[in-house]
Amino acid sequence: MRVAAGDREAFATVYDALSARVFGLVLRVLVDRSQAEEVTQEVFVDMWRKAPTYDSARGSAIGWALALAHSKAVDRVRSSQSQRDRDERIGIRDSVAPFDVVSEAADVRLEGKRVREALETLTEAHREAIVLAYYGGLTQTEIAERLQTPLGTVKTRLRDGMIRLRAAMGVS
Amino acid sequence: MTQDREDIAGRALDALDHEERRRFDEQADEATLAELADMQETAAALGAAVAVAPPAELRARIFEQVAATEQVRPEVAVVGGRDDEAAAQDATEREPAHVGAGASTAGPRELAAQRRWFQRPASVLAAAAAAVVLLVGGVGIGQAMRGPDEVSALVHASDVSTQTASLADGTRATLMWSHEQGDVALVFEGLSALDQEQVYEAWLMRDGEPIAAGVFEGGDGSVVHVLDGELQEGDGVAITIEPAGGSEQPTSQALLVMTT
Repeated sequence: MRVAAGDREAFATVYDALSARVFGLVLRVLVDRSQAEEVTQEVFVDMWRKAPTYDSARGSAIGWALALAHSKAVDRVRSSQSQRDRDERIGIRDSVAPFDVVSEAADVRLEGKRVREALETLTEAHREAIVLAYYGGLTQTEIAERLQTPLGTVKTRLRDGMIRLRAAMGVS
Repeated sequence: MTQDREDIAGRALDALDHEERRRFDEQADEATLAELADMQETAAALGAAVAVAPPAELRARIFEQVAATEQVRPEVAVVGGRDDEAAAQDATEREPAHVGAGASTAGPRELAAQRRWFQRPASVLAAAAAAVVLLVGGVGIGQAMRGPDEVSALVHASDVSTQTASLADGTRATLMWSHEQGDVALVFEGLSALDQEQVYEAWLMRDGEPIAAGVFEGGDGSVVHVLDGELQEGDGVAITIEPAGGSEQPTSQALLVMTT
């Protein structure tokens, strides 16, 4: 096994490549900027710690980093706020522009455009379930309650929606 | 559809509650995990679509933390090479040692110095590993990085013991072991790289017989090798250079032999 030196520079490269995506996602889920900064910091520190468990056969490094970021953001939202707070927060957030991509990187902007277009190809029911789960941080049970829809239906919508989304984005 | 498969999307989107998630992770088979990985990539695209540049101060804060971590890069390597005065000075700057009884044959000063490194080696090693894995993103490195976790477990073992020695070229090697964990690891600070046809191989020496304990490569910075197999009372550890892929029995003179 080999652990390379010069890791500070390597980490800087990793940070610069991923920070806008990590921060943007965490901010999207948490809405609150100062909490988003805290969680982003946790995410990058954790990326150091959990690197040994990263398995490239199971997906890209970016996928891994964003999965970690999302799960931490969701943990934070579930631990720090009551259901009512969160509903309120989502209400406020949804009244703002749903996709406020602010990034200088052209490839990131393009990526965003591709995903937005893919989301628009979904049915409203599929899109709604995915957005509430992923950007809203709701559990599937909470989504079922919120939409007054059976849990099984929500699961099916999430699953079918994700499969269609993948097809629409051309993610292999 | 089985329970876990219908929850794959929920798992990929973090939409399972604590209990559902625990059950999913327990029951998931290989096929489910493969599909999950696929869906996580799709979820990641959703994540990447809302990128927002973080404030510059955040970068500074995170790097401050990284810089602090890097100050405790393996120091054991230089302890033995210092004269008493330098060691004494260092010892006064460091906290007293609390390495377990019988931890080492080293004097108190060396223990103090060792502890400084052993307090946080896992974070240092994992930090470097993270950078490498994320940058390379290739097959092999990620899977090979099982070291830091085991090193971390070793460091926290109540009976962790250490010993340092030098290779002929002056490279310092630290052996770290725990009978409780049954683990033993070698840490080198800057180990000469070999040509492509050769690897380093570690051996557990038991009753005078070598047992192959894994191959590893040299490199700049910290080189860590967690030995294969379970450590037993009285085992020694040896290092040889072997043809690529390793040998079943040593084919060259040992570069290093240490006792536990």
